[in-house]
Amino acid sequence: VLRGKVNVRGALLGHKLGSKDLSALKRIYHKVEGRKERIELNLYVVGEEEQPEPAPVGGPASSESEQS
Amino acid sequence: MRVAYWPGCVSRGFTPELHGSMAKVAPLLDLELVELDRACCTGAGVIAEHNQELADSLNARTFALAQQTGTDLMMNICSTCQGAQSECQQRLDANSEYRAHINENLADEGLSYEHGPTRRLTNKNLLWLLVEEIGLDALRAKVKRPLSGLKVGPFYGCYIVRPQDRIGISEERPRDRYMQMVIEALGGTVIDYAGVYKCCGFPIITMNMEASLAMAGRHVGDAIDANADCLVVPCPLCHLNLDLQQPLAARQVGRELGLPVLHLPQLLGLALGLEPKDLGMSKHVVRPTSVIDWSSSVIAGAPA
Repeated sequence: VLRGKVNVRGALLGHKLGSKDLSALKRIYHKVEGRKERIELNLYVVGEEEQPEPAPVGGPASSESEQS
Repeated sequence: MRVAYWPGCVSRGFTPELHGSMAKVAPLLDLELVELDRACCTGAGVIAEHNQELADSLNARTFALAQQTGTDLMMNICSTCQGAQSECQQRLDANSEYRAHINENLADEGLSYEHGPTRRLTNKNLLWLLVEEIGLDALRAKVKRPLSGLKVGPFYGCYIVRPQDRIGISEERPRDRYMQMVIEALGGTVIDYAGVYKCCGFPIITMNMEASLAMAGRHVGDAIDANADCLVVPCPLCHLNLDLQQPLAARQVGRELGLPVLHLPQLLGLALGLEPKDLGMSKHVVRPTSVIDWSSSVIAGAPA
């Protein structure tokens, strides 16, 4: 505050999401958080669908990338 | 060049000088920034740890908003954002079934993140964009005030160099050398020191403040010992720990520090002819005296 890095005006009037966007984000949050089961892909899932996928190395079955 | 611009939360909150300096530097680089005002925080990896689908949905929403701008090139100025977004994008791009599932979460807004042979969103940190899209030769040609005599220590932080595969570091694209290449292109002297690729300590500050400050203090001290005039960072979170926390870090490591830490757009701005004040350097906790002195001496020595 002393160096003017942040100030009350900036904190109050700085960038804020619009109400429609906030509502949309809340909808996403409640929808995803409300699921009984979570979908968790392997943290390091990689690849492209048009490329052949290497054999999966551990991780849940749902982590396998599909081939189209 | 038109880019969908994601400044991130911290650049608009705790490091407003980063957001402001990027806005001033962009036209000098012929960059048209289409700011993603409706996008939300990337989650910085924290939301992904709690709920992967939630993090992927929020970032897919940002990607969809970027695609709505009509360009397939998105740019950020925060390497933590880059790391978090790259992780989500990698999952979304690898699996169309999963991507469709995530897009269902965005359907209420009529948004959809598209990926395929004809539609690919590329998300690049400013550092990558400088080297890969603008090019170092073009950058050199834009320099009005070479950083001659300014000794700059690059500080990458974690998210822009790890994990290498996800971040896209390769022999063809040595992204872990780009900061050195940019500093040299701007006419500066690169200072090599022990902390170049180390973590700034910010991610653990709420869990172990002493260790976090010790990490920041050690890196800054190493750079001072290597004779750096300043550090430059591509990440506002690193800036918070290395600049905002530097007085506390100095106490933690038991030595005087006082090394200025610049955001990448600020360093660019200096070389492109902007003044330290225009670039918000007065907002730094550690006064960038060495940089201001350098700038003053260059201006004083310039032909009228």
